[in-house]
Amino acid sequence: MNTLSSGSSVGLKLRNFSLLLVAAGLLASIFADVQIYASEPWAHLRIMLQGLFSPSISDPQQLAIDLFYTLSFALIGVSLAAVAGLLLSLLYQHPLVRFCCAFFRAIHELFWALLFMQLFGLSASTAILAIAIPYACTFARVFHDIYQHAPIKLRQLPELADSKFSHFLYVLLPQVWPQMRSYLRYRFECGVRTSAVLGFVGLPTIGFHLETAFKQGDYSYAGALLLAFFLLIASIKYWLKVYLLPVYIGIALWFLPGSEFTNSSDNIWRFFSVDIWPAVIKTADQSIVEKLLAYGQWLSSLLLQQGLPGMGSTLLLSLMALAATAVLCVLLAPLLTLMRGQWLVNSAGQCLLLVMRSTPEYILAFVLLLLLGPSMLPAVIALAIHNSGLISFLLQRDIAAAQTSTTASVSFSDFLYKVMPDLYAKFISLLMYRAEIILRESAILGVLGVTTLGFYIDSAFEDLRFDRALALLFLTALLNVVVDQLSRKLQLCFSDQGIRVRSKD
Amino acid sequence: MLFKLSHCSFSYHSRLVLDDISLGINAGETVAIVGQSGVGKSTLLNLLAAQHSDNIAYCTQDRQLISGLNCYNNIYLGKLAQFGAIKNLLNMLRPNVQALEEISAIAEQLHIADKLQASVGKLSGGQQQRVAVARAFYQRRPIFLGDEPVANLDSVRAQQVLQAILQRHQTQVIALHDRDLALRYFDRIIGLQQGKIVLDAATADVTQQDLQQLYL
Repeated sequence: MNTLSSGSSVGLKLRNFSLLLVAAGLLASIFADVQIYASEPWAHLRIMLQGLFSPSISDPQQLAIDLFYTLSFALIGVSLAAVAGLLLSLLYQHPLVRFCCAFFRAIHELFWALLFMQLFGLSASTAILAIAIPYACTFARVFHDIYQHAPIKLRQLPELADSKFSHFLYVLLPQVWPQMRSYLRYRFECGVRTSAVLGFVGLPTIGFHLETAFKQGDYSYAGALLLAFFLLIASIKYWLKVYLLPVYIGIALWFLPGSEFTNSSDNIWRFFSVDIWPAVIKTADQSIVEKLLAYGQWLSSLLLQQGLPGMGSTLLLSLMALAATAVLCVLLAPLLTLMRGQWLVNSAGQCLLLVMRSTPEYILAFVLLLLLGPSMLPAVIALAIHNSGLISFLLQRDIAAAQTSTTASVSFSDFLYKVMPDLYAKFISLLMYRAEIILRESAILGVLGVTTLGFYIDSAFEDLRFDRALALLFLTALLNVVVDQLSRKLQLCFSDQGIRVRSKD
Repeated sequence: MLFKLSHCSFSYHSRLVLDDISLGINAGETVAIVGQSGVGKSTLLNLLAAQHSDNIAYCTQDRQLISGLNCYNNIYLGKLAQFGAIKNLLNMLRPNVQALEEISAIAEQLHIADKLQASVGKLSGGQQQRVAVARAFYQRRPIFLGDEPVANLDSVRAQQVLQAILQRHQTQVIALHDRDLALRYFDRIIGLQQGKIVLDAATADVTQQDLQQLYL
């Protein structure tokens, strides 16, 4: 009796949390602009789908080059990040390292690209650094997390605590290498997606021609590009081997475009010493106090005019997207479970999930914006589709693992009484983990025109107002760090409900 | 006196594991700790290990072998802290000549010389146990603490390994459940029951019956 009542209270707490989340999402939608502005979205969608499903390649050579650059940037960027992340993960105990990692990770790859573009132009260095920096910080934390869960601590050799490097090499690494390898593989897939999206800000990856094709209404070409992109992602597991990495990196380095845009060190120095500071503090005869005061005034007016509205819509969008993701997952889960019996339906479901999670939310949002017109609705749908695809995929692996003995199809009541109770805590864990990522993406979708923080940052870069851009970037990163901490706190509250708590930043 | 515990109690998860233990062990003694499983033998060894960690080679029951490393490197781990980071890195790439020689001799004595290059995950329980003992040997410490170090070996092998342990160390404190081995190879036997010492005597004064009492 006792276990029953405590069991149901666990369920209740999670249920209340879920309902609260959906309610918050609905409430947010009252304040946000979620109109459909396009006059005939369905007709447009029909034409688009017709094009997408009849792919044709007008310029196969260009497509090959696009794919090659997309892969090369991802390969070099993620490899650099892995090495740097490995080193950082060894120093992760240090509070300064932890904070820097949390902060740099909070800035989206596209923002890094916009920033480095000012220094290195539309070059390979911009693309590689934009991927490498945030990824390195993510690797640092995840690797550190993985070390914590190494089963053997070798307590009978306490003197090993002093030789950190040897301990890492002989005790930690051999134990956790399989996990690290599978995470590296997953991040490489993310890297390819990021690399594709970098094309949308002008870098020479597949996203560049994808954007053009969509904008020109050449949906057949867009379809071909997307198909090639999906095939590329689906094929990763067949050719990505650790021992082949040096060969791949060598080829990538050899054939990457040389940068025509060369920036002198004077220009780079000017960027940091002059460009990123507002004019109000650059008058010569100011004391430090006056400078600080002027900067404070400038900053507060920027906050009021752009920072706060941007933060508001970023949070609104994130809440709506999180709620929509949750609802979509709950709808998808029973379908995927029930389908497991039928081979054909099951494979179709797998393909759908692959497409959902492989399409970067940025590209989805871009396409939906073309269809539905400029409101928050396309962004919400895009975030929900991508994230629910990913969460469902991960959950479904668990369902499969739990049911290896019974290959027979599962009835709906089986799903309600056997699958769901085990899975729900895991589902909420994943949702909380994605919350931070959804916030990052909400901010970046502003580059497409939704008035989140990314919109103001992108406009500032366009107007060459680097002072504003950097201040707003700083604010975005800070917001992300705060939300990340809150979501960790929430995880802690629910830890006795089986929610996984990630390690501290 | 090498080890000294006076009126020592220890609880784990609010369960009293050791109850008011007083005990002294001199250098040069060969002590067997016997008793049913769960009676507090491992906890007692852990308390002793904490007293002289610099002079002790401690072979724990869970063996603490690293699954991704081969046997050679698992044994090499024993002296890892004494070598510099560079030497350890190079050894990972290609075994250090001197260390390999020393470890081969130990492996020879424990009959695992042909397994040095094998991954520990692929070995049998008994072989893994000897790798753990080999790691303790490689440390070259005067005191050996062992928690069932020969439990998974057949009786001939168990005696060989136990003799090697006794031959290589000045002082030994070993927990084991094999009463015959205890009576045959040790100077002193400590019997535990429900967290208390109920028997502590020179082996000459202990009979099979006395030991059987502990397992009732």
